[in-house]
Amino acid sequence: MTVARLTDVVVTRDAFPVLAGLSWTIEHPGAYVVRGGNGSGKTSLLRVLAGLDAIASGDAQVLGHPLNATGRREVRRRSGWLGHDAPFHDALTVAENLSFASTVTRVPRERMADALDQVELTSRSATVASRLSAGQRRRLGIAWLIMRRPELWLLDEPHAALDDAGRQLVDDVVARAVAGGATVVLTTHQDVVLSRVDGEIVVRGGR
Amino acid sequence: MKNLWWRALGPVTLISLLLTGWLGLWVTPRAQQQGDFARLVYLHPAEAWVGIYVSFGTAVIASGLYLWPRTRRASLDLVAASAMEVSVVFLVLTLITGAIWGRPTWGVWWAWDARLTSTAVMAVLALGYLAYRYSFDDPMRRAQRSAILALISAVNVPIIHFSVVWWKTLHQGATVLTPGASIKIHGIMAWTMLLSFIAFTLCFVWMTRVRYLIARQAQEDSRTRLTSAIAARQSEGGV
Amino acid sequence: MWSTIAAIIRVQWRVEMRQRVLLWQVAPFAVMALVITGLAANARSVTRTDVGPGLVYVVLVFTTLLLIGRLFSAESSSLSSPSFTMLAIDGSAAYLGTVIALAVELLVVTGVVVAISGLLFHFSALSLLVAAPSIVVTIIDLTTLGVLFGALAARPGQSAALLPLIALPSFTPVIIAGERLLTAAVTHHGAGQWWGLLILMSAVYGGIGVLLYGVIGEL
Repeated sequence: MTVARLTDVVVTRDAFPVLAGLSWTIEHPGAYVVRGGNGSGKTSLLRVLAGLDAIASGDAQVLGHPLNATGRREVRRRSGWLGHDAPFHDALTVAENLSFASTVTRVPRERMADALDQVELTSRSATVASRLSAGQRRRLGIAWLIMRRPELWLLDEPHAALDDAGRQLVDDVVARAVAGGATVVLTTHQDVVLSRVDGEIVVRGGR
Repeated sequence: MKNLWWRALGPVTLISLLLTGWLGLWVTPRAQQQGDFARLVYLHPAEAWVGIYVSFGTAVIASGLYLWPRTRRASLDLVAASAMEVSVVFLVLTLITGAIWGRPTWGVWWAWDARLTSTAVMAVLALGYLAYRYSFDDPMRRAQRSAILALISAVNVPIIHFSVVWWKTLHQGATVLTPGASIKIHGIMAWTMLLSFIAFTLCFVWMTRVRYLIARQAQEDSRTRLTSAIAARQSEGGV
Repeated sequence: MWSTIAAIIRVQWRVEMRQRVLLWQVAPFAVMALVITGLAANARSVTRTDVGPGLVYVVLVFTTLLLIGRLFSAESSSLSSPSFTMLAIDGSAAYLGTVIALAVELLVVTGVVVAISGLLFHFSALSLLVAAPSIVVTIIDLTTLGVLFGALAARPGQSAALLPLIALPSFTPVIIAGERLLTAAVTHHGAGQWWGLLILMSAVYGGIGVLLYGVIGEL
């Protein structure tokens, strides 16, 4: 099944075309990289794939759903997002945040220990999120995706704020997700080398 | 035929308004108690009718039709916005003429009267809709969210009305449609009042149409700007 | 659905327990606002039972708006972030959880405000006890409406003035009903019809919120 098919997609934000006629097809599950400079439309492409933004024109299908209101809701339910922000509350601890997210999405809480172990945050599980460094927050976001096990992983600049060990961690997590049959799409404007890349798109001028 | 009707609307509206003015000022008699101030009966109720029921109602119905997937059209959003703007105009006129009428009747420009107060609250409600609407740049998000706000607010309109009526009322009772369906106004005065309702309703249709045409033109202009913006955006990539 | 509601309530209260904004910022604000409005209305005169109940509700309405503005502001909540949207939380559960959590927080502040109002406007403890059920329902109404309008007004970079502008007209019946019932309690008069209005408002806006809250968040 085709994972995503975008044809001449235009997305506007505040009357500005962040995507200006972009076409891209992801035929099979695997690891895909979106490259491009600042403001080229990388994050906007990811937001469309996540079902976060409606398209102004063009045609788009993700995980078999057209990107209308109902389809976007279903896409959001089956996708995972790692962005510059995180769905976490600063006043809650690492464990409390993951526990809340797992309750509201009906993800088994038993996966938490393993996820925290994979991102090496087990010792920080009782730390309040506001006291985490930027890199640790990013790891927390990755831990949540490991727990959630979405079909489509959308990682916006996942290597930002991470040290070498963190970058290796992202690489490992991506490889494991793809081996499990998921699709991972990540954006980067750096020369990041992943152990496995099944496709790549360079976004310039919103397409 | 349709074009002819729209072209005739402006002159017909003007003639009906002038006729209402002529009948109201020169043909109808002075009232025994209120004197010439009673002539506001040919202005104030018709303004309230248009501001509260016709314009606001049109905006709410258009919003509902916009939200309903089967009837959704961008034009309905523009009709809703145009009608709400006209509603604000008529609600403010209602408040002004109400205050002018209230001064000799009650001795004050503003009394905490039920209908006056609920009309003022409705005017703020309509202004809030417009302020909310104009806070969006994205046309689709603006249309959807504004339509939801219009519907949520509309549910509250009768509740606001009855709560204020229960709270206090000084206003004179209904003149035309009373609970017992007995009409308190007769002869030329009744006909003039009826004409004022027709004239102001026509005025609403004309104003809403003109505002709608302006909004549609603005929408077309923004589409043209978007096409240019897309071309400019694409050229950023050097293609 | 119930587990989601419970989780949202737990999180909001836990955050409040740690940040103590309600205790150290909102409650003192409400008390100060009551004193200032009392001074402005010259409430030391014999008319204090006329103006007192109204002033209590003016203060409670602005406290509600303050709490709702804070809940939906980008700084204190990640509700508008893509990551939170991606959690795809059930809209009805999110609405009910938020309303319940916020209503309880508001009731805590209301308790303080009403107790202080008893001292400032010489309301007897018995009359305040009689008024208590109507105060609780009025606060539930304000929260039900406020969370709905808060969701509509919530947007990054949105002016803080928009929420009061769109919410206050719809608060009008609730303020009138609450004020009438509190006045009735302190003057020992009946005002039965206002109960119907308060319950109608809760039912209507609770229903709308359950149906539309999720949809509004997605637009």
